[in-house]
Amino acid sequence: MLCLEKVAVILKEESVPSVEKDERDVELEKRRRGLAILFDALPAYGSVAYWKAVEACEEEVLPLEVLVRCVRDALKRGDDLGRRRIFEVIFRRTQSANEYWANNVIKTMNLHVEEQSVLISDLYADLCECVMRALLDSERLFWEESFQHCLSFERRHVFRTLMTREGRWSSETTKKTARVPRALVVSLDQPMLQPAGDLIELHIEDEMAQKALLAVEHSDLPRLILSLPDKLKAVVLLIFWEGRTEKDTAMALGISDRTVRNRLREALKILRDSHELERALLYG
Amino acid sequence: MDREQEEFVQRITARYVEEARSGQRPFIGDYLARYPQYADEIADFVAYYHAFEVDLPDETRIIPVLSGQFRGAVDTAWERVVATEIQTSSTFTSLLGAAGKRQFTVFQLAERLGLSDDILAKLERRAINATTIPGELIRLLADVLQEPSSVVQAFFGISQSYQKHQAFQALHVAEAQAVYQANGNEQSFREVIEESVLLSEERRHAWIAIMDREDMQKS
Repeated sequence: MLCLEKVAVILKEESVPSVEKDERDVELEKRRRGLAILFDALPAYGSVAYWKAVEACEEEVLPLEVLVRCVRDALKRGDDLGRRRIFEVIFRRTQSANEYWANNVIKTMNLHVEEQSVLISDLYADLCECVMRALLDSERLFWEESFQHCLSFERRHVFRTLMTREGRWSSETTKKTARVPRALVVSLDQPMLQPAGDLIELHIEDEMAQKALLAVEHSDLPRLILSLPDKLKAVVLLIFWEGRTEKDTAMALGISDRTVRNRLREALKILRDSHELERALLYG
Repeated sequence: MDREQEEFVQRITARYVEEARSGQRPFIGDYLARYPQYADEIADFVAYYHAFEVDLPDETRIIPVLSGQFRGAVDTAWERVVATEIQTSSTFTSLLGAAGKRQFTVFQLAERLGLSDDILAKLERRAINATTIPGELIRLLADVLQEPSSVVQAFFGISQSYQKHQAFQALHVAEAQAVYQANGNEQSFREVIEESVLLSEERRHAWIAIMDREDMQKS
């Protein structure tokens, strides 16, 4: 059986394509062909050698993208047991990342231990279901090219659904958040700690909320942004995550300075309200 | 956002992630400026990525066994998927009826399958042991009748999901099969092929070769 390294050598030996193509596109094309070669080199479907290749580990491990094609092949052949067996391999190989992710997501929800355990199982079952459905849908071709990235997208989808279902967000396009993660509430209570050199020019009225947001740990900011309505996310991300000015932000998004200010004000108001709501829930 | 747009956003964000992973510190502003029509989606993914994905462990070379909790979750997911497949699959109770809907006569269907009328009649009556029907024939039938393989398998009662479904619902298809089984009329597909007087020698050899190949793969 061919392994990915061998395929890479074969492709390296081939002639360099026309210079008109973007270097990245060429790499992508090479990768696609490499994956196709690996799939085509598999032993006859259903044979002992085939399953040995699919379930191989360590050096001989097949890229997950090739396993996606194997699942779709099993589906075409009507082999239910076969696709179940390939799913098993896929979930075993992605288990550690999925487990880490599920634990992380649930941790942000501040639940009791027993509740956490139940919710982790639910979350993981939802994720597995979404992944299975995506893999069985042969029109979703990007899975055959970039498995891990598609998996990230699927995890994001499951995360959003969970937050909405559990009432953390009132809807997918929510106008208002129900609450801010507890870890952030603690951060918001701390005095403003602006990193040196991060001089952000802001002209907004809600100065307290602005300071509070700046006091949030940089790494916690994305989680906070996620709870905002979609149209406000980009503005907060550019100003607080990337440290851009309002003017820069307006240019990047193709909107006016005034719109940036309005969106920022709206975002800060939502965060402030949810912070107060959280405090009320916590301290009565 | 339709599927095509979603895939486009996936490709854009995949590039962002690739740059971030290689330590290039990509500017999200550049991405938003370049693809303003997807700015909200990109911003949402980037925020999500930095919140939950950036620290995930890479795949290890040693493949772990699924833990009890996750094994249960995978089983639950599988049951849900199979259940919806059964609900959404159209079923048919007659091969010839399904062929008729596609404007095929019995003769035309037999020709397309590379079989003879007598064998087709036995398939229609489900008088052939379903476990001996080659996968190639299931594929051909699915192709000709333009139905998923699982539906064709369900007709013969050889699909795992169909069998599961049988436990919950008494389908007409299952009842019909039981009648034939009770009559003891079942033959293996190989026997039917070997005994048919209407099948050409060329086709007989072709089917025997297919069955031999599939048997070999199974072993």
